[in-house]
Amino acid sequence: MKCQKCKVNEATTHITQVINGTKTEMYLCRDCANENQELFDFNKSLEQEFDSLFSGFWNSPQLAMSKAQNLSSPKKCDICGMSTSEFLRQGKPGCSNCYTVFADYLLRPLKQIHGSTHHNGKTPSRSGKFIRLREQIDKLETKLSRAILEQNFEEAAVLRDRIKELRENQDREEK
Amino acid sequence: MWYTKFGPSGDIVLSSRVRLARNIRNIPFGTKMSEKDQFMVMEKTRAALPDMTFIDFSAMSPVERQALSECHLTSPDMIENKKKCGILTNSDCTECIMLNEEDHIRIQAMTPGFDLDLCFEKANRLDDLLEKSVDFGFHPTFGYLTCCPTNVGTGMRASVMMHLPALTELGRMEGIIRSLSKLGITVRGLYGEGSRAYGNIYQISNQVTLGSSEEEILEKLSRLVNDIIEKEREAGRSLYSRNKFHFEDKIMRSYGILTNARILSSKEAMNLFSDVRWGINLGIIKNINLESLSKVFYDTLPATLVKNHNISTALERDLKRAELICENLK
Repeated sequence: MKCQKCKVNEATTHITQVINGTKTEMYLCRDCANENQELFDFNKSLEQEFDSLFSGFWNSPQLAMSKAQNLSSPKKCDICGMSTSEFLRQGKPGCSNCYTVFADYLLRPLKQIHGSTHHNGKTPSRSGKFIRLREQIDKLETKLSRAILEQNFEEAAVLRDRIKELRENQDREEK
Repeated sequence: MWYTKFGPSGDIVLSSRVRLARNIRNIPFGTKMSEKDQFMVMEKTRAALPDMTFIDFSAMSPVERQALSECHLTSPDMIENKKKCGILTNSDCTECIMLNEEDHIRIQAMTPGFDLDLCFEKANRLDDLLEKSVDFGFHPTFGYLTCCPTNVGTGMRASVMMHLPALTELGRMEGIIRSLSKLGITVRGLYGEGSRAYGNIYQISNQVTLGSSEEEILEKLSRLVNDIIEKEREAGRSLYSRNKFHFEDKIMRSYGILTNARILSSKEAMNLFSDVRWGINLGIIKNINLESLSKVFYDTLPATLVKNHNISTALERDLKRAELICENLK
């Protein structure tokens, strides 16, 4: 019998898993079985280590799912080198950039801690200029699509030129 | 020092403080920081604020650091901090910036009595000054990015230190703490996280930092603090009028012990200070004022005593405390 996972090697291991009362059986080769075991151990160790301050936030059914999905495509922060598993274990970002890299994981805990996920306060005036520019462009683009839908081409032309101008500003700021 | 002065609603509120947490973009947080990163944070911040005085913590003993924490210039976390760290202060120590605490930069502004708006104005001005030359970690959705997600957003923690003996005596603090926590407000003991409310002194601060603007957070906290001030005054008056002689007896006994004891631990002194403070507010004790009481209170805190009087044992400390209190309050 061939391994059910790689479908190449001969299956040597029989694995039975019971998850929430549903029994699944797998016949795997030695390599695939080892990989499966590692994954199982990794998940288990994650679950154990989450017993920290933030454990309550990370241990949700939705998160468990996204965790499983992300195991196949783990992320890593370019600035501080934090990996997905390290981030989940510590429950804290390693640098400012981690907030962008692991944003998906942060939304739920932030909602639970603060009751919100959106900042409504002060914006730094220098770096904030760039953010405000982007928001402005987004708004104008929505207006532009509406103008095109309504066949209001005169307005669309004005909007298009304004967006172009702001984009140029944005490029200058970025440099 | 500013913290011994009498400010708005000074009968109940000892001091107000606003703290802004900031981090420099592209420099890792806490555990991920190299020594070079730690230096860079200190250098960049110092260069941006040349008018402030820098105090380097590397050469300082834990007692010296604790003494700074007792006068609110640093947090208890900085006492054991192994990183390269320090503070920047202005001349009267009402403005202070902690470097390499949990976050790279923690801007603090403090004032005697109840005035959170003034504190925010000062902290905000320092933030604007810093921002001219330092790039902060900021995300369009999450706001100011902090080491711990509990501070993200405004990065602002506003807190008010309150003396609440009447509400404590009536057993109402537990209920107040519970209802405040439902509104996103935390109540802690005197010197912040983990410490107990010795001397009926509570630190009341916002827990939530993301979702509301700085102004909204300050307005909500101020409204609640005003409520508590009224409740405390009312409870104090009612306790006094209900049982006048017993009440006066309790206050005068505490005053007697505080000014006559030979050995006083800091915990015992704090509880006696609380009664005497209460007695001054209600007009029972007339020969001392709140400012001189505050001065002795701060002068006799443990690390301040050790640092100023070259003391080594706990007994020496408790003797010196009793001596100083007797000299200044009798």
